Amino acid sequence: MIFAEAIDSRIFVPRSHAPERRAWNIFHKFFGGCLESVEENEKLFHLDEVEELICDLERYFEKEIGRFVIEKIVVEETSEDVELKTIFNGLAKKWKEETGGASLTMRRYADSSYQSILVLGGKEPKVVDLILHELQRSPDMWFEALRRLTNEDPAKGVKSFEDATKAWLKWGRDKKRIA
Amino acid sequence: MGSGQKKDRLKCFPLPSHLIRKFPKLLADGAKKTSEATRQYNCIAWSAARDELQWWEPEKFESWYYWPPNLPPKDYSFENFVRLFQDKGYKECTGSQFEFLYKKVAIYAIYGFYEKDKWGFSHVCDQLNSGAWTSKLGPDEDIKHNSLEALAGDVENEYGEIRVILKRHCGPFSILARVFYKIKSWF
Repeated sequence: MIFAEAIDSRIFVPRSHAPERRAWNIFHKFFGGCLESVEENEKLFHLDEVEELICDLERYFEKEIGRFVIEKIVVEETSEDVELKTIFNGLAKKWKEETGGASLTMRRYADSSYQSILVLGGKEPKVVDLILHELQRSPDMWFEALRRLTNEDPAKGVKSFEDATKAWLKWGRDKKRIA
Repeated sequence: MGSGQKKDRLKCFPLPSHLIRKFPKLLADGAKKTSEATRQYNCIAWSAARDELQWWEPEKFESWYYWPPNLPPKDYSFENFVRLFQDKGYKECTGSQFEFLYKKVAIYAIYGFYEKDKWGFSHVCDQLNSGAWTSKLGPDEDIKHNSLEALAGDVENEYGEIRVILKRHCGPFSILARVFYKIKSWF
């Protein structure tokens, strides 16, 4: 891939690749519903430039890569994001290891790592996104954390774990927090 | 859980490595996996209400959880879990050995699990008509194991001590099944 590198199932666009980045922005504009990211340069883009932009797209995005990109969330990760993700992943892993065999949900929700994630989420709203990604990747009892951090409950009244997972993932997609 | 899954639980599969890691004594026990992993029910639902599988724990964290209304809600005392089974006709007994006319359940607990200086419920399993035991392991698979000790201990995810064993009379179908297993054991 010339202009983008895959990092942990996401796409990272190096800031140094300016022309490619512009095409990326254009792509983002076209498929804004599918993609997140790209803040700078967006103001340079206007709808009356559509034809030119399509040319740019054709030039910079091979068909296959374009298809690949469209399925992904594009995130320009800052060092803070990476740090937050590392902390979250560490806590989530510890939580699963320490309470993975527990029969009671109370035991799992009361775990110190889980509670730390709640505290972290209270300070960093992006933790909700990380939880949703984790729920998508490896479904687990994240519902209490999501309820507490969002003050919403799209899974209210559902009859199964699978339905609750689906309801939260749909909520995440509707809010454009996950792909 | 549909009848298909119920039928599947009778089939035995090799124990997956993650269960051996969490419960190291299962390997020597000769335990077998009898279902795929699911978070749809827990060990209480499995051992107390196999046909409903909505039973869960005293606090209704999720909308599909059920706890008998005659038992105190949000009470995680060990006694509350024992009462759950007593209300289903079980009575405390000694010994986990197979008794032809009785079905048994074993309740595990860990000291200080929830409250300091108190035993906290950690797991329950029940005896099959063959004499082996069946357990739903947290969010993982159901297994068939030969001894209660295979899940006891304090290594990794082990469930602590076997604190209480309860028994109740078997139904007629269970007795028939036990006769079958008895005859099978002679050959």
